[in-house]
Amino acid sequence: MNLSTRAPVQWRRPLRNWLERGGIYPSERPPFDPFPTVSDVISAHFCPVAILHRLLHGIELSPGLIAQRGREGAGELYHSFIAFLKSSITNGRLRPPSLGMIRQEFLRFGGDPAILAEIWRSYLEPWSRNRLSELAGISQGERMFFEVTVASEYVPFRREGQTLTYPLRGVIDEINLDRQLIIERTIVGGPDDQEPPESEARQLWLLWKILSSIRHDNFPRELSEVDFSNFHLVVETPFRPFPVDKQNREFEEEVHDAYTWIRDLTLNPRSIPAAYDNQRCELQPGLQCNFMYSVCRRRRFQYPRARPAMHQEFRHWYRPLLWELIWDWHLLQYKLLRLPTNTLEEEGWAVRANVASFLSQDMVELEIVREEETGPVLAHMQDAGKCELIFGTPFVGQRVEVALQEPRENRFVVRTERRYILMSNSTLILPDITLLESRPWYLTRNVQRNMFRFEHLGRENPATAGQDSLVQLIEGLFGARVLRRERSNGSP
Amino acid sequence: MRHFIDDIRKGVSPSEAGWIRKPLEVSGLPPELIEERNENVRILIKEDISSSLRRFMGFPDREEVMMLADLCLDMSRMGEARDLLVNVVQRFEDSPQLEWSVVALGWQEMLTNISGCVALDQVLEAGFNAVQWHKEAPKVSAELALSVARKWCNLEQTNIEDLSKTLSLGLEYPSVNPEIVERVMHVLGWKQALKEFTKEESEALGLLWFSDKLLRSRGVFLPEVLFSVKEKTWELISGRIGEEETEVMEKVDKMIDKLSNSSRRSHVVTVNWAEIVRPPW
Repeated sequence: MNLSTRAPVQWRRPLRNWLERGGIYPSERPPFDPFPTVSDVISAHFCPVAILHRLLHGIELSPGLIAQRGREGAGELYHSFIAFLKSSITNGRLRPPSLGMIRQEFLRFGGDPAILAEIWRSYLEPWSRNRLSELAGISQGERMFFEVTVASEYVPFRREGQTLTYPLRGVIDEINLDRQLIIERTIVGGPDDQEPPESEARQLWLLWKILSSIRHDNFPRELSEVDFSNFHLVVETPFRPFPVDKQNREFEEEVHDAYTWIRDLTLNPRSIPAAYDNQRCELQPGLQCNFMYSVCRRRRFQYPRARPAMHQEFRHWYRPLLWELIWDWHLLQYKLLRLPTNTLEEEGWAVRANVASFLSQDMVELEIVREEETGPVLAHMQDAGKCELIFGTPFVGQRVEVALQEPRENRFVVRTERRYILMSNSTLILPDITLLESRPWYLTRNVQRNMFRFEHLGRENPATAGQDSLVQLIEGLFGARVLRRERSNGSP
Repeated sequence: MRHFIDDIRKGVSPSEAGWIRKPLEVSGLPPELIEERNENVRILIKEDISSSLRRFMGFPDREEVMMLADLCLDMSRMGEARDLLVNVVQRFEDSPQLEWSVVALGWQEMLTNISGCVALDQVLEAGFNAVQWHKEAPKVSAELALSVARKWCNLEQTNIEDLSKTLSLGLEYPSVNPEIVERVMHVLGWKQALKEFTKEESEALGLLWFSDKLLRSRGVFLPEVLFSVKEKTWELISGRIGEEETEVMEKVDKMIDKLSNSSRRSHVVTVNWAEIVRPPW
């Protein structure tokens, strides 16, 4: 494969005064670049058309050489269960674990029994079988943390003797402080593999680069003494662990291209044909990629006939929607890392709280630091039913969605969706779901995704198309069909 | 199908693309999916190629076959549109009126996007409400495009409408109240903007958008197919104005800078010219 190399770009970050309230009027193309995730960078490196879909069409999947189609949701379940299992061992609930016991726990974990059985057979059984002795060796109280979000505005990457820095954010599957391990877990891979899956190894290396670029005073108190430069990096497939080298010169050089694609596709419509010129499956015929038929080359149906007219309307909106996301979600990420917690709190972007007590594995009692903020926080939580917490700091912390269970004066009990050990007693309640003057940024991504989905839905057969309400709606809105309300007896 | 796609990519006309010497058996395909000519055969590209292939179950990888069928159909449509584009541009030498009508059609297509590119304050100040603006502004695109073409050629709206009908572009020409046209022009600062549009760049942008509209009006949908006509379009543009893509785009960028500066009001850009005056791809 020979993707064309693109000139590295100086990342444009928002100016300090733009981050404060009233600092900048959000309008048209943002004068700063997005705050990419590790998945964005890996996707852009894998294929520019993949990152185009992620940025412009709200696709959240990552492209890759996934073993089997239709198993895209399996990874999430696999990760959550292993986090739950290991947490249950360290807190003493489950010891020593046997294969039968693990299977029983998994089948009780929740979900469709047929899918659970399939995931058990394909991934978890080999994983458990290969790690029984390791699981038995986990000591009670061992410090292992799962799904830790790490973020830094200035992650350094070298290229041809010079260093450029970029913002980057990602989620580490597991950090084990006692064993000095950082683990990236995946369901991709087979029993005979001699190398870790390429994109997972790169992903882990990027996450370690983020961690290494964060100043210690930005770590949660509980981690302030930890030196991550000595930690070992491990990619763990269901079949075996693979050590990953911390020196990755080749990829370090290539990362810059990924950032350039992200910048270009965000700003410049002229970069879209260039992305298609560099589409990986075109350059590497026969490549199996999970984006191939689900995203990039979806079937095109004959109906609705008004599809071109619909596309005409929609195509002008994808980029402005991305810009709206950058003004909302990406700018917030810059704010969280750049502004002191006091300012974040004063401006209403976050509220500090402490864990008063852990009531059970998934129930936590929180106490708001500034008592006067309890009312608004509670009102918002009751209104939306849930919000996002960071256990730790915006630089290193577990971002967990919680639901309000019970208000108690300046305290309240929340239920976390994740059943694993929380890494810190201090927490920030984030506004991006509910609080204060936030905007529901995720709705913008839904709009992008649904517009893209609408452009591709359809029917091949004229008779079925005539019965399909969505197809008919599109014909009515964008085509020549006149929509009429039907009477209850079916007549027009 | 791959042979057909490759030929079209190389610039071969759809009628000549994809032919191979007749083998004894063509992958076991049923006769209704095969076309024959002088001892040569090829896949029959027709509107319902996908459904025909779907009925035929003998493929090991159906998803890939269906994808190739979509690609073939789009490539065929693109090839025909590309031939027509070349044909139209060849006639420019004899008819400047045709040339500027084509440019105007392209600009009309480009300017349908104006409604989402203006600050709301600016719209409200001109007496529109937001809904009215989004409904009315795109209708004025034909009038605005004509004013651009008229800078260099004496044209009437009917010349453009006739050409659009002849080429079946599917563009609409709703009647718009002149007072609305005036107000839309005021919102955009159109009279000032018109001064900034230069001849070569206007022609290039017009041709690019015309090419895009021509392809889309023929039902071309897949992005990789749409973009494959870019090179040919730029070749035609360079043949007309004597400048390459990079050179033209640098000048367009300068033009946009000037337009943006003139529409800036206390640090806020009221009209997002970079999203209006731009190539389609």
